[in-house]
Amino acid sequence: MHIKRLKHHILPHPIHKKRATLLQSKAVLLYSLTLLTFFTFFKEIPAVLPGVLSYASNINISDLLKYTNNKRSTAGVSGLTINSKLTTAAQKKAEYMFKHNYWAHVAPDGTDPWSFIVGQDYDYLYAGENLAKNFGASKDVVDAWYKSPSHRENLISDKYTDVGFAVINGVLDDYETTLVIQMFGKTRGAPAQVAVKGADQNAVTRPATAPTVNTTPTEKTAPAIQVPPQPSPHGVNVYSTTKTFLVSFASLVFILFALDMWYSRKHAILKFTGHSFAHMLFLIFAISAVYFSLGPGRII
Amino acid sequence: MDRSSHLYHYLILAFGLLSSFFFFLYFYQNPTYQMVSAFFGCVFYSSWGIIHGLLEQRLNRHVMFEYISLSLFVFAMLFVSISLI
Repeated sequence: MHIKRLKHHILPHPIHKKRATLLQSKAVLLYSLTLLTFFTFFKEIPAVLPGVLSYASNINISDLLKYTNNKRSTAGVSGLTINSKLTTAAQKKAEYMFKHNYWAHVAPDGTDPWSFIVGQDYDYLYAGENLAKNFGASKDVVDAWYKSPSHRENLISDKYTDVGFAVINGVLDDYETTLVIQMFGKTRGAPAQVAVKGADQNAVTRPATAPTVNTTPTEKTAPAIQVPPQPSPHGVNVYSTTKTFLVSFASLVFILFALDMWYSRKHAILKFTGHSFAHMLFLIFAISAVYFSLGPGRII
Repeated sequence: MDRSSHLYHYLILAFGLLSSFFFFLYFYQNPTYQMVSAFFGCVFYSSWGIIHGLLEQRLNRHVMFEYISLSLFVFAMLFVSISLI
């Protein structure tokens, strides 16, 4: 009796000519509510238990520099060298973002990225900034910047000669987060290369003083600062947990529709319902969207 | 309904879902636009199901509710992933 009842939870009913109980509209609506409960739970947990949820990370500066210079090399632009002042400026910027709990180029109090660069006595002619958070790997960060036109402009611009990175863990909006700050620059003292485009929020030019050609390097060309690798944040990884949960849930519903279609054909059950094949097609697109298009992390 | 009309309906469905998927991919780093793409994709699917049912002369309240509930489920899934990731 129990087995028979269980059977109709997952297979269509040959007499009533209905879908399996687990595929009836009310059940599907219940699944939507389950997803929203999962969402609320993940949104509210950090407020109750800060630091329990995290976006795990394995990002390091040497890989960021390597992948950045690979992209520049592909674009036919010379590589950047690590500058200690830009690195310190990037670290200060990251600390400031955690302290004031914001995720933007310009702080709510109006502090712009360039003030951190000037604060380190880096007399820039050109400067730029790329930001990223919640990524798991250095390559993903650089790839995401490369895919975005405005970030790519910074990444492969021949205006810059120096770069500084910061990879800092902290709590942002109650989530354990890894912030990646990439600051580009070229000093007024560095050899000039023309072409200045309009400045936007993540790039700036200081044309007030004409650039002077200085053949003597003013900065060390070798990496000047060693930043210890950041330990990965602890706790449940929001990105992988969400992705796994959603893909598994939708796949289960997909399998139930596939079973429904197979069993109905096998036993010639003519149900007055929607098309299982169309539902499966729709679910394939939804699963693919979650799996392929939602890359880890965000950039600005 | 003849077989060619049925195929024609499914081609429209595949085109609509592919377009929605394309925009979802295209707005990779823009959660708001991704949400809009997901919304229109789900509305398209519900509409397709209802219109297809009407043309097939097999539309009733249950069939309509089935398409709407599945669209809501997929939208909830995409909403959660866009909001949390």
